[in-house]
Amino acid sequence: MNHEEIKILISAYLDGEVTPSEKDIVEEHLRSCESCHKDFQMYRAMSSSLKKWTNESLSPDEEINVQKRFEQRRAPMFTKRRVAVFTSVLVAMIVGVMVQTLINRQSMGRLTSSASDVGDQYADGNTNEIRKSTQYEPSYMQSDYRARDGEQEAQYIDSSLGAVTHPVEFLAARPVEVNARFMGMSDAQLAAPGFNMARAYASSPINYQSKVRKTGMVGLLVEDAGKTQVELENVIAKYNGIIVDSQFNQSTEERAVPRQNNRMYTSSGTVVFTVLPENLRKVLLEIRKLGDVILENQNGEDVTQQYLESQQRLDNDQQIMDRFHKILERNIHNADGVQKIDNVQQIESEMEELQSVIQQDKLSLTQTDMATMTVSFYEKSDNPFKSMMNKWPMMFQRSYEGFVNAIGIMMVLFSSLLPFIVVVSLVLWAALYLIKKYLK
Amino acid sequence: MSIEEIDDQELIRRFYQADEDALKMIFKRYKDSLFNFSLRYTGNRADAEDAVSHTFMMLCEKRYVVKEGASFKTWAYTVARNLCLTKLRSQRKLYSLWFTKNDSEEKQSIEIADHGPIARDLLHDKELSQIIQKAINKLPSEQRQALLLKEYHGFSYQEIVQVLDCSLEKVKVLIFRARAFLKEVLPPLLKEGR
Repeated sequence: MNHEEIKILISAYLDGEVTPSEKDIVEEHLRSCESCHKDFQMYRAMSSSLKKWTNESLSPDEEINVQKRFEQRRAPMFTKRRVAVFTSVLVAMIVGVMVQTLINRQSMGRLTSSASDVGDQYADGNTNEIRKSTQYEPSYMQSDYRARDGEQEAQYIDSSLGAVTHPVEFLAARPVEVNARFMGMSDAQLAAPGFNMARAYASSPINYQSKVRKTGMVGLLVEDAGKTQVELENVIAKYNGIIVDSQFNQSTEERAVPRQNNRMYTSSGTVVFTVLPENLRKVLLEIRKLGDVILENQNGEDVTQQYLESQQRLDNDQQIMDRFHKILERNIHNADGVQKIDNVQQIESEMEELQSVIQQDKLSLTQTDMATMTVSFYEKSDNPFKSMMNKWPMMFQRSYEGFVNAIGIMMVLFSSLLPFIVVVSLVLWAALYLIKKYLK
Repeated sequence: MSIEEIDDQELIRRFYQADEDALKMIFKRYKDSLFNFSLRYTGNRADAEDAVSHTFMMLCEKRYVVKEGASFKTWAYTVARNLCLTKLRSQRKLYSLWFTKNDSEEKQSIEIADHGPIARDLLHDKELSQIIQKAINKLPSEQRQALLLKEYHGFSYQEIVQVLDCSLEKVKVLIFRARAFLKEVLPPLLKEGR
C-alpha cells in the first residue's frame, strides 16, 4: 500500500469507515509518519470548524409554500388519467352493449329470414329441398310404420323392397274406395257401423303392402372421379337400373366440397339412375363402397293409388284383350266369306293397339315405384398446400368482409353516440375545470 | 408507540394508505435537512426550496417504493441532489452565454452562488459561515456533495454511495480530496477572516 492510499485511508479512519485490518495499518502509520499525523489532526480540527456553518430552516412562509406545491401534486380524486380511464371504460361499456344489441338483432333477423325461407319452400311445395338438408338416417328413411292389432302403436319395420305398410292414420286419410280395394273389402263393408279400420287393417289376409316411390341423393368423395363413373354405371347395370343421366367434369381447379368447406375437390360428376325398389338397397350398399359418403338422403312418396289405378287399367285391358281373343276365335270358326276376313282384320288391328296399351300399362306399373337416385361424386384434392393456398383468398375475403362490417357498425355507432360523447366530454371538462379552480 | 417513534418506512406505508399525519411527520423529519443540503449545494434559497418541494411531490406521486433495503433517507437526498444538479446545469448554461470560456469552473460556481438571494446573508454567524461557504464552493461538484452529506448530514459512506450512485472507493477518494483541498484553502481564509 503506497503513501497516497494510506492518506485516503486516514480520511476514512477519521469517519470510522475502515476495516479492522485497515485500522491497524492506519494507526501504525500515524505513529510512524509525522506529516500524516499532522494531517489527521488537521482534518479533525477542520471537521469541527465546518460545523460553524450553521444549519438553516425553512421560514414559515417558505414552508407553507413548499407544502402547497407538493400537496397540489397529491393524487386528487379526478386526475386527468383517472378521468380518461373512467371515460374510456364507460364508452367501451356503452359501445359493447350497443354492439351486442346490434349483433343480437342481426342474428334474430337472420333467424326470422331463414324461417320464412323454409316457410316459403313449404308454401311452394318444395319440401324435398328442405328434407335434403337432413343427413341420411337409414332406420328412419328405409322403414315405415305399421299399426299392430288395432293399437295406435306404430312399429318400425324394414322395407328394403320399397313396399311399406302404413299406420292407421295414414289409411284413414285415404279415399275409402282406395282402402277398400287395397284391403280387399267392399265400400259397404268399410262404411258398416262398428267398423274398426285398424282392426280390419291388421287382420286382413291380403298382403296390402303399399307402394312408395323413392328419390334420393348420395354424395361421394372419391380418389378418381373418372373411374368412379365407370364403376357406378357397372353397379347400376348389374341391378338392372336405368341410367337417366351421366355427367363427368374434368377439372384441375380446386373448389370446396359442398357443405364441407374444409375439403377440396377437382374433377366431379353426376349419375342419375332409376332402379327397381327391391334392388335399391343392394345398389346403395355397393355405391357406398366407392368412396367416402359425405351426403345421403332419401325421400318417399306414397304412390299406392297410382299403382292400383295402373293395375286396374292393366287388368281391364287384359280382360278386353281376353274378350278380343274370344271374339277372334268365334269369328274364325263361325263367320263366313268376306265378313269374316274384315272382322278378323279389324279385331287384329284392335288387338295390336291394345297390346301396345298393355305394354305401356305394364311399364307404367313397373315405373310407379321405381326409385330415382342422384349420385354426385367429387375427386379429392391430394395437395394440402394447394388446397390451403386456395383457401387463402376465401379467408382473406371473409376477414375483409368482417372488417368492413365492423367498420360500418362502428361508424353507425359513432355517429349515433357522437352527441352523447360530446355532452359527456363537456360535462367532464367543466367538472375538471371547477375542481381545479376550487382546489387553487 | 407515538407517531414520532415510527420509522420512515412504516410512516410512508401509512401515508400511502391515506394517513395524512404520516406525511406531516415525514415532512417534519426531513424538510430542514433536505433544505440545508440543497442550500449548501446550490447556494440558492429558492432552488433549495424547489428541491424540498420537488422531493415531496415525488413522494406524493408514490415514486418511492417501500421495500427492504431501500431507505427513504437516501432516496430523498438522491431526488433533491438530482434536482439541484439540474438547476446548477441550467444556470451554468445561462452563465456560459454571458462569460468567456477562459473563466475557470471554480470561479463559475462562486459566481453562480452570487446570482440569487444567497444563503450567507441569512446566517447569523455571518463571517465564519461566509468563509466556509466560499471554501466549500470552490470544491468540485461531486467532492462537495460527498463532503456535505458526510459532515453535515451524518451519512455513512455506504449511504453516500447510494445517493451519488458510485463505488465505495470513489466515495473514500472524494472525501479525502475534499479534505485535502480544504486543508490547503481553509486556514489562510480563516486567518484572513480573523
